[in-house]
Amino acid sequence: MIRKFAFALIVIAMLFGSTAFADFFQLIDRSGGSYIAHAKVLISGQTQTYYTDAYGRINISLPNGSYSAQVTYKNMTKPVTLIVDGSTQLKILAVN
Amino acid sequence: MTMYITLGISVLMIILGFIALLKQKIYIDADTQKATEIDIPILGKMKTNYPSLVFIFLGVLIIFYSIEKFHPPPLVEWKIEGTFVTSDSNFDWYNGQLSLFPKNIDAEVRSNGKFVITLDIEKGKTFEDVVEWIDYSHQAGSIKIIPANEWQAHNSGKPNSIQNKTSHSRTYKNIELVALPKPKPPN
Repeated sequence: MIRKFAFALIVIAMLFGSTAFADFFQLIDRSGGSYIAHAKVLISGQTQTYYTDAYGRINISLPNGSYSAQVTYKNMTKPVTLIVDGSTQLKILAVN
Repeated sequence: MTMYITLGISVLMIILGFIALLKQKIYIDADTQKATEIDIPILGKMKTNYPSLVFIFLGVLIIFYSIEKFHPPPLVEWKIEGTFVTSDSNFDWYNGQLSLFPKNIDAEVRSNGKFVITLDIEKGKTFEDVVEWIDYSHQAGSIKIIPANEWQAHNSGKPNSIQNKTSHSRTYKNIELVALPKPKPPN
């Protein structure tokens, strides 16, 4: 019984350990004090293009780590760093 | 207005070209006893009576160009529809915002999550050519559709959101709202 329980725990741990959870970011224009809505986000080394929603939010499913990205909005492209840590809280990113 | 000015200039060029042709004089070079040649940048060397022909030719060219430029191809009405879904049966879809880029179109989602978008697109182009994304944003989450990606996946037999298609319509499958944390005010 204990062995089965331990095995189940290991399986669950392995499943969770290999799954990348979505991290949530909200991009805000520091100068204008507004949401960076519908911006294109290109993360270095990733093929997928991400877009923020009308509130500047974006969800990114990547393994934990620091990612440099380019945010394009209003004909401007600005660099940002996204810290993916697996938390489910909304991380505010003020873009200069 | 600009078109009429351009056409006016073109007609004037043609008329002046004809007048120049009618009143032309061929100047013979005293040394060579041949028609004098003039050297025009870009166009190169020409006999003295050719510039009037070039004038006419340019006038006709400008007329065709302006007709092409000022009379864009006809528009075709496209209809895009689909349904957004979520596990919350009482979800207030009206409280969200549906938008398309780069087309500025007023569109809304009905109380059952169904959306219908009608837009005029130049004949010969597709919805995927002109709309980069469709976004539905609500405080509780959002949905993003990239039409070109869906179309490409549909054509290559990969999983996609397109349920039906015609030459000027697309129907998307039920698309699940991606739950997101409530946004914080920007200030």
